[in-house]
Amino acid sequence: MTKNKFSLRRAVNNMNLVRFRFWFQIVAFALIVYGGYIGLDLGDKLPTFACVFNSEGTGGKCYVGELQHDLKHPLEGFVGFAGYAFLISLGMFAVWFWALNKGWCGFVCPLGTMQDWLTMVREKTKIRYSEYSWANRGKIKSIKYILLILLLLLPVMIANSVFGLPKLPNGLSMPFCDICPGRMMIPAFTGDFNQFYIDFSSKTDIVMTTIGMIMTGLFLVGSFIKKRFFCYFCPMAALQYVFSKPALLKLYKDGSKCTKCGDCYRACDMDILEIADDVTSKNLVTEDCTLCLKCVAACPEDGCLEANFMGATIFESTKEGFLVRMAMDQNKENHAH
Amino acid sequence: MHTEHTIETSAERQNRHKAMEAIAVLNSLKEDFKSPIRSMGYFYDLFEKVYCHHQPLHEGKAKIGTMCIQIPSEIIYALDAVPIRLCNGFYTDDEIGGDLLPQKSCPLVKATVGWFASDNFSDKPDITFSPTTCDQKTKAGAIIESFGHTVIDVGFPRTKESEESRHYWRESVKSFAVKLSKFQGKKLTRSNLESAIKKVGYAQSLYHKLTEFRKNKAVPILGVDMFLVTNAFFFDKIDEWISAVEKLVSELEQRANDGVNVAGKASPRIVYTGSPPIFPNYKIPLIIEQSDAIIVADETCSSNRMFNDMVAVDEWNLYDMIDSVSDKYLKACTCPIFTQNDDRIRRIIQLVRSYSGDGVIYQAFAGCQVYEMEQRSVLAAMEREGIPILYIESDYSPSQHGQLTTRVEAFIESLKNRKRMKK
Amino acid sequence: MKKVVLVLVTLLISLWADTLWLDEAKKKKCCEVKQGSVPMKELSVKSGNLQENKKLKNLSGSVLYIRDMDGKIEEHNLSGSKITFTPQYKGNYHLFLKHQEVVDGVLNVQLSTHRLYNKEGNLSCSWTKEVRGKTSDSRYLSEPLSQLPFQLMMEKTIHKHHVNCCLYVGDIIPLKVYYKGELLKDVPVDVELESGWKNTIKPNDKGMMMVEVPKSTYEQEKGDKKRSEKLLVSATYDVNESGVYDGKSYTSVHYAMSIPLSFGDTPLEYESKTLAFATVIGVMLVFSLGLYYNRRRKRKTPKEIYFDEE
Repeated sequence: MTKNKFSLRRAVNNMNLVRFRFWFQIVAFALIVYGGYIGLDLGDKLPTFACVFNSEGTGGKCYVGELQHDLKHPLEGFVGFAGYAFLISLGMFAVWFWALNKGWCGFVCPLGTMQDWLTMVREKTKIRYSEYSWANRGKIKSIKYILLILLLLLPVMIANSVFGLPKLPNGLSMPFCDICPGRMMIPAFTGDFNQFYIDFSSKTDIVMTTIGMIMTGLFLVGSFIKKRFFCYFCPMAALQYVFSKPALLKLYKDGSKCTKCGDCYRACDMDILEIADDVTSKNLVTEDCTLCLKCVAACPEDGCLEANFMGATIFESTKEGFLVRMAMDQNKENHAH
Repeated sequence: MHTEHTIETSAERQNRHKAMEAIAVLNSLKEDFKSPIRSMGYFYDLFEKVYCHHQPLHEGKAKIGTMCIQIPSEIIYALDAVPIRLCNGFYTDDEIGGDLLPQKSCPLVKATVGWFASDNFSDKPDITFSPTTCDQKTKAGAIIESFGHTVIDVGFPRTKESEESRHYWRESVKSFAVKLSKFQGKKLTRSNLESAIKKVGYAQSLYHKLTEFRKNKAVPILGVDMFLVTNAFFFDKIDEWISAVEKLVSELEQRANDGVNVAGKASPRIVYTGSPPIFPNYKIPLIIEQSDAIIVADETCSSNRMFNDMVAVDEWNLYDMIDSVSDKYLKACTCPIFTQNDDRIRRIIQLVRSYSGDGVIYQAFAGCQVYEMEQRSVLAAMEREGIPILYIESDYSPSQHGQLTTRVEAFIESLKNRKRMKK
Repeated sequence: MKKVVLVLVTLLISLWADTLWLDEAKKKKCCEVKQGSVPMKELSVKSGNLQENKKLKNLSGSVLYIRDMDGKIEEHNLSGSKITFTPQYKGNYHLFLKHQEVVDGVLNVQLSTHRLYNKEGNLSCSWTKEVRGKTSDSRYLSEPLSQLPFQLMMEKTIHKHHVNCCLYVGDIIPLKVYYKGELLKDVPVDVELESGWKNTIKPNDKGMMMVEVPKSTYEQEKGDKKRSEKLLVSATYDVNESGVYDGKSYTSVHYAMSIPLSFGDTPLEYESKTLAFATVIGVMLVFSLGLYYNRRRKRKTPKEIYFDEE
């Protein structure tokens, strides 16, 4: 029995996710990188990279920068206004984050959008993408947690003497901002290339800004050749994953319907094995997941994967949707060979 | 007085015997069941044409023989050839092969080897690719080669969870594609592979539409008819198969709207799993359906498994399309040749749940080591889920008919009793 | 005779050159704020020039306008010699001082402005602001204040580095002069440093003055980034207007406004842009070449490519 009547649910499940995501990302990119010009100000606790160095155009500030700033206090100051301010900041970050869960990475983050654009360019040039072997992928998972711990610890160690160690130089004050490729790339989209410099004022500055330049080079080539290269190392992803369990937007899998065909794994930019091979868990937002929903779009079984917002299914995998997206729902004329 | 004696050649006798087997099954299909389907006429005629009159179908095109479903047919279609699946269901060929293979071998492999030995094809394959799936098919490749046919081995892994096995299979498919394109003298391009993938995908989607009807309470099509339709895909021209199935789908839609039921109201719904019933070896499915039950779903490589899993491509460029094709044939495969069989058990349970099956019939060929060995775990799993299951062994010989009928009828009776008691 | 003239002239000049500005008292470590209470800001008004100045002892008659980051303006009448106020929120506050006095039939209106950044606010008042997290703080005004008849306004600096916290050597400060809300295009601006260096800048045809923060003439210690120096920017304007103020009549008005600023050494004393771009491009090249050679090495039979990318 074919359902020929129009239903909203059917239209959503059949949608071309790639195109929807492309336009959503462009709008989000415009708001975050150029929003300041129209007076948009979303605050400084955003769970996505919105660079503060893009001072005129930015529509908000990324929380990682704020976090480093907040933590550069004498420890005594934390029992007082500074401590409360820190807790309020963290709370607001969590509230922003819970709206979209890791979807901030897949749909909003301008660095993610840049990487997706580079991937589109590579696809047009027909260059094959690279993949990590499973062993290597396991090894690099911990890098983002190490970066997160460093960026939390270094500002505290500048203002305080931790474990009797001497205080760190002020040049390490925004350690992650120095090495983040966003600081170089996001202002570049407003025509400001002033962040590309190596600072010879002190040894710390030389090292940190050089690492920043190396990171930018790696970011550009890495994202060209590997889908979403930078997201494996992003400390924002590590910080977000800590708060991920109670979030509102979730990715659910019904393992009994799964045939382990691996189509979802093929589509996944982050090469998450669990999405295909795990048939027992229900919540499949893993630490690397960017909730880009490509897996849901690539699943050919009815109701196996779904994107769920506050208990209501908003987008699920259907056979019909799969056929429409892969253009296998009609018999096309033979191409002349 | 002269009498013209013409002594039949062995080839002619073989053809005659095969035609007899084929026509017996076809007549049974046409006449023994109520509410025949008009669109099935195409398929009955097709089988009659090929197996009774031995008409060649694919003149002028390169015919690529495949010994198992794991050889990607998308690549073969892309290189402008025709894939012909050589799994054989004839007792005649089984007898011929019985002299060449050990007594306890799988009848399907014996029949295939016998066919090659007799070299009596209406559409003879120019080259055969044999994936190293089960033991018997693996060894049969060399035996067939000794008869003078061209056989190329394609390495297939026996595990599918590890990274190495998946890489191995991808490399295997790539080298298969290189060898085939050298043989054809054609190149694999982005556009021809893309259209081949989409065409096979469309054919698969038609099968999905067909099986959707079998979920209804009033099933409009017989299980054996479905087996016939899917068997036709082994050797038919794909475009004609597609248009015939499209007509079948629209007729079934009509029948479903009218509430036509080819079985009785209380007929138990059976999920069939196990060794593939290949035309004309429809002994067990026919017994099941003649005993007032109906096969609503199956988990066999000659029917459901060919069409169930679809190829998903992320980037429509050659490097990704070839990897997608090879992944589909390995990862979702529930063939018992693999070391772990959790996927097969989950699949059977899923079929029982979504098609409202009342029982499972697990048929293994006598001599098929892998299906026989999996029997234990499948039976235990079904018991845990509370699904009744019958395990039977059979082969191609016509002598077992009485025994099998008794066992199947008893099982179906017990299913009917269960249903009555539930009410 | 020459000496007398000189003395008279210097007196006159010192009279005319009597600029007022707001000065923020720096907190000493011993007087750190107690926990729980909000720090109080203390300011005094100095008069003279940067080298020689004295605090004004009596501030009665002067008015202080405080503008917070939402644009709300509070008016306070001053008394005593100190200005104290307790900012409630964390962020930028703009203070404007207006001191009026009739001297010899001329109404002297002396104005000064000072921007104050408060690090810690009163939590119970300001937690909504914390939650909101303002991004673009009103460090610079976009419009002249209606309360001030004459205003020298600093616009956004054209900076070239970091999150803009402070003024650095080499920064260019754009200034505009407004009289009763209208832009004046012919009023020059005086700049003076603590060391005594002075300069006068004339406006361009659009009425904008660009002042470049000069390098200090003091001997600098390299690397001491926390050191800061004072810079005073002021402008004057005369208008023929008569009226009565505080019982005295006047025939002309003399406006003077000053902006006290502090600046530090530029943190990017030595920076190299070309080296940075070279590093980025070098890394990209090395990485790409490495990938390319790795792929070529892995491809075992490069000649047997029967695949055609179409």
